[in-house]
Amino acid sequence: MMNEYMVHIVDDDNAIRESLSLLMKSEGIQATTYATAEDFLSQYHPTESQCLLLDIRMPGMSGLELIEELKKRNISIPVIFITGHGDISMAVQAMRAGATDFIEKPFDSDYLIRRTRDCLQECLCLSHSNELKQKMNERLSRLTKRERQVMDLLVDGKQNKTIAYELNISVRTVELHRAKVMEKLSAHSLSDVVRTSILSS
Amino acid sequence: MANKNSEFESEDEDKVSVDARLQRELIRLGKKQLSESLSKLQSSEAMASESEVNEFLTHELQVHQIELEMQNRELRNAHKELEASRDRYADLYDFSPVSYMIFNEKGIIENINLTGSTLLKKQRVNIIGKPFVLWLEPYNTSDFFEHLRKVIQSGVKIVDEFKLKLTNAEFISIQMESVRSIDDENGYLCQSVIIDITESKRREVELHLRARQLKLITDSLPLQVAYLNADEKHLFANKTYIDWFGVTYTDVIGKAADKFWSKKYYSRVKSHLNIAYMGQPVTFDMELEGDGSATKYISVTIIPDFDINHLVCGVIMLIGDITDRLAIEVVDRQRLLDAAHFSRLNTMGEMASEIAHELNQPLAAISIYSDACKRFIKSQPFDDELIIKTLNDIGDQAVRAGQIIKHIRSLVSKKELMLSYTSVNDLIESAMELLAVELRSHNVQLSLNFLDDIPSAYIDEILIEQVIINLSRNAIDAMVETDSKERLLTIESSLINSTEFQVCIRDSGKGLSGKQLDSLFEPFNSTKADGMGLGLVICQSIVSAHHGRLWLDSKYTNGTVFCFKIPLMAEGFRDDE
Repeated sequence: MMNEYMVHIVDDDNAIRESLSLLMKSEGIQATTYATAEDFLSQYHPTESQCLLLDIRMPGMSGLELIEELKKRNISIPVIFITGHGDISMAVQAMRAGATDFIEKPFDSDYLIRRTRDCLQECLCLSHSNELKQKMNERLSRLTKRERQVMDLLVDGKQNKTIAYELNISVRTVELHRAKVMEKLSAHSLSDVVRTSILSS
Repeated sequence: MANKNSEFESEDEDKVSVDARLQRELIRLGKKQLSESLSKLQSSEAMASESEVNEFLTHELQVHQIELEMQNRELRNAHKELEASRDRYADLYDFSPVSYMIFNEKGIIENINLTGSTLLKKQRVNIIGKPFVLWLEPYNTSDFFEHLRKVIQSGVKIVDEFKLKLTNAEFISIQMESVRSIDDENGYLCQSVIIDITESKRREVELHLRARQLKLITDSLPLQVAYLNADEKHLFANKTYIDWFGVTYTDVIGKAADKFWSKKYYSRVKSHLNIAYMGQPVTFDMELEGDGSATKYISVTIIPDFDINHLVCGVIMLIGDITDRLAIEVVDRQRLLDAAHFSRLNTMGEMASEIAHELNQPLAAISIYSDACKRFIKSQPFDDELIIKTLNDIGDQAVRAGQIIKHIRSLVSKKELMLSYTSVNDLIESAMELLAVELRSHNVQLSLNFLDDIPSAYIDEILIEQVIINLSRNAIDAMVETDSKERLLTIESSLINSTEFQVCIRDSGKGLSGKQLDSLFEPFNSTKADGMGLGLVICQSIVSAHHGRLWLDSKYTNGTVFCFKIPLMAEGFRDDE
């Protein structure tokens, strides 16, 4: 039943931990909270279906370092990163490190719950992931060469200004390309763009 | 020696004349007695025959001869004694440490002792009989004759000073003490004792010169200088002091401080004065309300003066008008406040994204809490208590967000200096709240060591927090290249003594290079690529404005430690006291 599911929440901010735990509870999902990555590692027991909600910035062992550590220990667990708003470079790093997804603060609760459930249903997660990948690739193929360039630079965490400079075009043109990219990828935010870009590759 | 021998040769001449006088006297006495015997003889002529007469005369003469011989012996003995005693007195006279001279009424030197002739640098034979004016500096010749006249006419002891010219280049000053005496011919003589006072005169002149120099120096000082003796009486005052009170030198000297200063002024200085009289130097500032004129500020320093027994025998008072300096300090203070404000704005700008993150935490929590609430309410029947608890949690997070905003606003708002009693440890914690995200994003561990429960310090909390934030951010930046597991920021606070607290901020970075150390506190010198290089300079200014000190503690080999100490009762920003 539900008890087989377990969400591990690792965040150094007490309020975030407690509120996430409460949100999971409201959905009938069992959650355990940890203030540090080290706490999680020391208390971790493999269970059938679990998922890790992980703050990317923490004193001591950071979220990214924890992922590396889990890989070393051969612990396979889907990870959703919690990142700060606009922290694109961190999000990209997280995805490249093997995170299933990332979610920006402040959270879209519905999205978080949906993704958590996806992760908890691992098999589904995998197939879903393939399906998703296909969808993303299909969307990406709609982009023009220039739009693709702009998107890559956006995913690198570059500002519009920098992109304009690097591509030798005006900022206004970058903005136009950017809007087009968002539209073609059905993205609501830059994080959606990053997600599409990384999941497709 | 040759000189002395010649002296004694002349003495022998005297001796010969004495002996001759003695012989003449003896012959005179012999003749007298012989004539007495003859007259006796003539009166008894009748009764005596010639032979009887001869016999009698022979006997008489024999008796007389014996008597005369006895007398002669006595006289010779007496003469020897006299001679010995005279020699003794002559020695005393000659070897006396003071010079004796005898002048006649015309100022001719009748006699002089050996010391005297040494003083005049001539042999006695070349002195006796010469007029004294030969040795006198021409300008005091008439003074000497006046001296002589007074001695001889009045018969009273007279003391005068003269200047003598011994050679072309040698001058001496003498003191002459004279009395009258009578010579053989019932004339008057002037007997004088002469003391060489050249050295003491020279010292006197030197002392006078020194005193004049000292007065010149103290007079030209912008400070008011006065010396009070043990009875608080003025022994000395410089021109500035006298002018300040608008009096003359003679009005001040000898006058007691309580009689001289106004009652109000004296009463305020008295307690400090007492401390100085107990042997402790004191410095204090005072406000002088001008009558109708602008208020003046003075700084007073009182330094005790000790005698050879280490007792306070007086005090030196130094009073400086610091009104202008204070005015400059006010301007300087305003500049510092402006610079500090500017630096805070700069820091806040740099921290903008960190601050946004920090603010995001409670906002994210609120958003999740409220979503969870909604879900609970939808799933009827809901748990009332859980909903209420969650709403409370939401409220707490809103307060947390509000506090962050308030904190930021207080740091960026330009404000006047505000000294208040502040808990130093609370201030450190508050600064760390603001730095939480920065610490987290740089994976820096924080260790707060509050070694003492520091009593409230009278400081400007925004400025001191700025110092703590600046130093901590420097420490965080210094650890960028350090292994993320070893990044540790340690803040240690302690009480050094009952009057000062200390805060040390230590990083575990690679430390500063020698070159960096040299220019550490120089403005526009930054170790950071985008740094202004003003942070440390402003921190230092803030700390010194609180009468404290900021320094780099080099006793740790790894990492860098900045410490500052500030008096608990900071008298910084003087005019706000």
